[in-house]
Amino acid sequence: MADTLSADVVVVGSGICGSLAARKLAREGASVLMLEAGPRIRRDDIVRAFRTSPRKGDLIAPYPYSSLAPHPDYHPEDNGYLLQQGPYPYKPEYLRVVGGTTWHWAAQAWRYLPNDFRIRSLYGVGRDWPISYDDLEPYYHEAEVLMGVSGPVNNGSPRAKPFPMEPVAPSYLEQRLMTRLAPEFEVITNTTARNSRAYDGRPACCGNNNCMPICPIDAQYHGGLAADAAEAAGVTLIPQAVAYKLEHDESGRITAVNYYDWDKVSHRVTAETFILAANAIEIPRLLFLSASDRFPDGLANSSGTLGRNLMDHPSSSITFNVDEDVWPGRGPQSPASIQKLRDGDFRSEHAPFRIDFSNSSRVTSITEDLIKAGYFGAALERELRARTAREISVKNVLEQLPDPDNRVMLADEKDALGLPKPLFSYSFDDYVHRGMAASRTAFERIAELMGGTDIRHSPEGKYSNNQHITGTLSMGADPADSVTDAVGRAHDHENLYMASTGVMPTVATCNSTLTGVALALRSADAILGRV
Amino acid sequence: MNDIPVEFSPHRRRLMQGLAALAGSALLPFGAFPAAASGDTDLAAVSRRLTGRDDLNPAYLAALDNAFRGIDAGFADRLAGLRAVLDTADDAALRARLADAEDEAAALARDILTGWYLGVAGSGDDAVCVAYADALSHAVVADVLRPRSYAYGAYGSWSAKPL
Repeated sequence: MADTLSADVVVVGSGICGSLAARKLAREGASVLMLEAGPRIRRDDIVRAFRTSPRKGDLIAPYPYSSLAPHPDYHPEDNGYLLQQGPYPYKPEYLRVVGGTTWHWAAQAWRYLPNDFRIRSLYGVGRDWPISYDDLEPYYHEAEVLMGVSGPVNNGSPRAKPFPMEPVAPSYLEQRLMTRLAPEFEVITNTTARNSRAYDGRPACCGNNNCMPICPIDAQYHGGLAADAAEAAGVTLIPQAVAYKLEHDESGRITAVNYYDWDKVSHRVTAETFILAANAIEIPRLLFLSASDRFPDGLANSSGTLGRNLMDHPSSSITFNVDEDVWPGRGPQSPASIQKLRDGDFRSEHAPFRIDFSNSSRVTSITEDLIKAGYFGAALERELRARTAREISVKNVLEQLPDPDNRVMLADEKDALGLPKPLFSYSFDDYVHRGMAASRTAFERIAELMGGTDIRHSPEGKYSNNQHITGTLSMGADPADSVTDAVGRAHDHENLYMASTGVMPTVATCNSTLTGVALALRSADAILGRV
Repeated sequence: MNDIPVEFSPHRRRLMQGLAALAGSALLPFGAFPAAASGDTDLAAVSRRLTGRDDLNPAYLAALDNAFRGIDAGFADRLAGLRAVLDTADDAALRARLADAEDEAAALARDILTGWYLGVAGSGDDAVCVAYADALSHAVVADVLRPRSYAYGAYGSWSAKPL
């Protein structure tokens, strides 16, 4: 027999955006109930699972999986949760666990550039946001304080208050990059939610070089900590609760959310306000699943744009051997980047990008390569050591413009609970390809300045993905071409908000999490009547 | 507060295989594996040639032997064949042969090298983690790098020139 729960606010999804919005509302006295499709997990269990995993390079492998709340997994083969219509496969990774996908991330916590909010006005491409950088600036800072963000001030995003912490100490590799690429390329330490000193009860980084898939000491912030903070503020968290349908009244107000527990018993939760905080794939899925006679194309979809304008950051990369020993693998995994190609008049012609240097240990991949090439014995060990000291990898984080044909839909095929799986239509336009060509030129110059040999480009036209899922719930001033308004509220439902990177109308050139959190905190303020 | 689902998914199965193999390495005495206990086994001889090391950890050797036998019922016969190949090939010839993706003996040699240097036996769904920190790839660079997930050192220690 289904039961009915009730709260002032129901949050669907316990990731970093939903948890920090829930925390904020609970601290203001609201009763908040948060549903999470996946299970609770513990950091130490994930660390142990990583160390005993036969697939160390698979960021998903250490995390628990259930067919009742499935997430995509591509190794050793695709588990078939996400279905593809083409022409280009879109294969993001995400987790469905308490705390969400930021359990594994490199903690890059960038602000957008002010111009990123106005690319239609300035460059004639993409779309403008309904808010400006200045509107979001205080919320960026609020997020940075909660998450413990460190970084340098010369990163292109102006700020009213200092970072909570100094930038993380640079590795020797990072120092060599800074020295040898200057003045042509200014290399700066990344802004990251990584502790450069003890902060908020968590220790400073000690260089475990395992930010992905799991920081063993919580020196970097993640959604599990956000969920803990929400519960500490009084939020009631229900794990293993798979939301599958929203209900509405005659006026379009949302009245309840229904969820299955893992015994497939249905429960119903009523509330005054609803916040959808799954991710930019699972939220559209829930809204499509909630279609009714009144809203036959899904809730929040009178514009027809729900699930459309899907964006991520496609990446290409270059790998080469530096002409001196630099030893990647000492310190955090993603330490430094180049900003100069994030903005400029060229954005009217080709995609802008940030250039990102990896400091991940390359021992495993180089060993695999050498064994495959026939090395053994002393020669294997000699070559492994030489290449590990000198091989580095550089990639771009490149802006993809909103395209209504890039979208998430419902498939006919269903998951173990009988809910239709996500289906994608996806492709890249020439704006992306031209940006990749510009990246290649920059990559080659970087390799030249570093004395690079054995230069290897990633395959032309094949781009890796960054799991910065955005656009499917785009905010906009016009209800005819957007899903949500300037505070993340559904145009069609006055008490339905989205706390998700899905509301971002453009993806820009930086990791989406900090902007997603800042927007979620602003949405919470709107619910509190402060915006 | 800490429930992890126990559904017997492929992921879970792989994890349990890994844990079982580790337990074998850590807890069982060398003599618990009869095939590995009696003198110089084929795997010991093959491993010495492929790694160039005479000081291979006997518990690690036993765990690898156990894992490979568990994955492949024909392992012992294939291993004997590989040993015969190694006995007759000089280093240059062996290097060329090990690079041949289609050669069965070379594939087994690469699997054994992967076991020693990366701590993983088998591939795909059958892959088993038999070791991590003790894998030889880490030993080769141990004066500069730590296995991922283990601390490098105090905050900022990575700023110094490595060597």
